[in-house]
Amino acid sequence: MGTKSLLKASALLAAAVVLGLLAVQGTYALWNKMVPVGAGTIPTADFRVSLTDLSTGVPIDMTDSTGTSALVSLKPTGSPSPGKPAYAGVRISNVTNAGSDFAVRASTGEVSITNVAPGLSGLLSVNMQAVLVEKTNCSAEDFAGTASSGSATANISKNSSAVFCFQILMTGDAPSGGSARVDVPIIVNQL
Amino acid sequence: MNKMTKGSIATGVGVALLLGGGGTLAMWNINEPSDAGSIKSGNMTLEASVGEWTINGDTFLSAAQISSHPIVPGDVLTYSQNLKVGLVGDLRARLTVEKPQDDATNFDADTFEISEVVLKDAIGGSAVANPLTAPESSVTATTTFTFRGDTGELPGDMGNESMDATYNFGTVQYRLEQLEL
Repeated sequence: MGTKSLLKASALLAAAVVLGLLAVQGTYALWNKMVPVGAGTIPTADFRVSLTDLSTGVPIDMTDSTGTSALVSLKPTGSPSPGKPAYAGVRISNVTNAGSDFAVRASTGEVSITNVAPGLSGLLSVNMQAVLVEKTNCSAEDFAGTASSGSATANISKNSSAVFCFQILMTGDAPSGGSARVDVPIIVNQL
Repeated sequence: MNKMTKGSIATGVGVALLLGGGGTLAMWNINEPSDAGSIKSGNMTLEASVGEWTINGDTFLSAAQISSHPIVPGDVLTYSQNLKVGLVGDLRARLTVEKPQDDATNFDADTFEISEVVLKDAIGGSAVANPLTAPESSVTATTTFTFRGDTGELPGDMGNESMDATYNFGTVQYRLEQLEL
């Protein structure tokens, strides 16, 4: 066979090898071996916190399934008047299904007081206090001997609760028919 | 045509048929066995036994039990498993674990960090070098999966999106890969 023919044959053979490799995605790989680990399936926990109005004892989840924050309407112990505060309380429970430790910190955010009927919001202020979890209602004794505070914070371990008490103070005579709404956001973070 | 001519034609056809059939009028040749023996290729084997999870260093769970142990950001999960590795031939091979693919519901693989495989002698507990070279090894492979505690800082705020999800580790594999000598 002449040199020219030999070169043609070699080129044809090389092209066939390349084509073959491309067709089956082959490589000139070294050996390898694989085995499945068989480690199972791991679920992640929920982040479920419930809020319970102490006056009703009915718990609701802090967020719904879409992540939207819930609104708990607390019923104060009567209406405040000058020198006679009203009280309300909420129990915050860490009811996660986490398998391991899962502590959270609950804290109150900035209070917002808005008029429902004119003239009252400017006369109101709110103190807050994290109290013993056994409390079933909030009263003046929860604020006796403690500095007034516009915020409350509590660390809550898994399957435990904390109670926030609110003291609503009125600093002057309320106009007739006055009405206000007090919003207190509660923020819960994983520790 | 006389008989001599007819015989010549018949002989010519016979030669032509030989040529057409690929035959040759070969010159002499002779074969002698080389006595080089036979060659046998080696092999690599990898067998995994049942493994065990350790959660945050103090809770031990089987692969079945961990399916009812919901994890939270910050959890460190260690999976230990005995492996038998066979390297027949002049082989050097590295053992690695492949990061799981995200085939689970709303659980992003980026929320996990997976360590390199740490190998120890399955009996004595001494460290075993990886890549492996011994013909037979019985090792304990340990891999740590950390559910990142900073998931809320990941792009797209994947922290809360990993709640109530499941992660199927059925896709995780050990790979024993031959290395060049």
